[in-house]
Amino acid sequence: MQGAPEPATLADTLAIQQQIYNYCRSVDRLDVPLGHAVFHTDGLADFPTYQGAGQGWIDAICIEHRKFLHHSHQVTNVIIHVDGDRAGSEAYVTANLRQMDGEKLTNRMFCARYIDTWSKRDGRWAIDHRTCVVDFSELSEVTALGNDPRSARDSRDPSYSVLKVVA
Amino acid sequence: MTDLQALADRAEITDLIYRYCRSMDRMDHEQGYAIWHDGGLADYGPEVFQGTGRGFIDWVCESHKHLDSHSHQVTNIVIELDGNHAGSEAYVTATLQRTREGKTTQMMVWSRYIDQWSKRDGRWGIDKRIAVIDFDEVREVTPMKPHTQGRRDRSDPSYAAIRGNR
Repeated sequence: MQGAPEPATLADTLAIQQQIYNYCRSVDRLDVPLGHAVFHTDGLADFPTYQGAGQGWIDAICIEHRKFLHHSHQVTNVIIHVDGDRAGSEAYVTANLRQMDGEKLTNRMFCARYIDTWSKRDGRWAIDHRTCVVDFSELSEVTALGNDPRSARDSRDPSYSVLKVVA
Repeated sequence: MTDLQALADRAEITDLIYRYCRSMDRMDHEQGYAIWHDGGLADYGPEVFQGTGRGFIDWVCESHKHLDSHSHQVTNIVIELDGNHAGSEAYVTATLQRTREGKTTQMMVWSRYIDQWSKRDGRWGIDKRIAVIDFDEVREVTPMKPHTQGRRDRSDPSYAAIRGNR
């Protein structure tokens, strides 16, 4: 942010931040329409295991994540630089994913960053290009305390009782 | 002070706290210097570092060279504004990995950045930071695989999206 931000810049910054959170919500709830709305239709995704259309990445990840039991993508440190109808951002993300490996419950932790370029088209901010850089990771066997049966990876999740609208 | 100005001040201080983390993790001296005012102080405790902010950045970027990779992640930022002065508390979880003789060790440190800020010539900067460690942990870990795309210099992909220091 440069000097004293204009109100419009503050609003843009918050809209972009919300889209970064929407992405996490889409992959954790396996919500394909929400994930599609984070990318422009011609937006691109560059992940360690995928290079291609952003919306195609959402399709792939929402299938791929079904092999996991639970997962949580948590974002911190969102730096956003707005320049008119374009912007760049860096957001740290820590993803934890639980999986059964035979009889063992394992956790995969990734410390990564989403590096995005954005554009505002027809008043709506979405990603033109996302690079995901993984800085480090950890595989460990874990013991769960329990499972909350209300947590769901579809529209039965309680969050949909308060958040209903696709961005 | 207008409500809008207060929002802008909070946004700028928050941005600088995040950019401090970026300076640590990319070992970016210039980004780190931009967080403090000239002559601003850094107190990370008598066993770590006490001196100027600029001196701290130089010291910490050198000491981080002995690590493979690290991530400083801030949550819970409380800011109190008072005109051209402000105070803030930010929680940070730092995770740092290093490999010796084939074994990877992970350190985690739960700390808080307690900062005194002032706005000079329209620009917020730290006058004094106290960094307090609440607790920590060290253990051997198993990485999923080597990760090589991230860099601890300006060749990191993030500099394609975020170029400036503020």
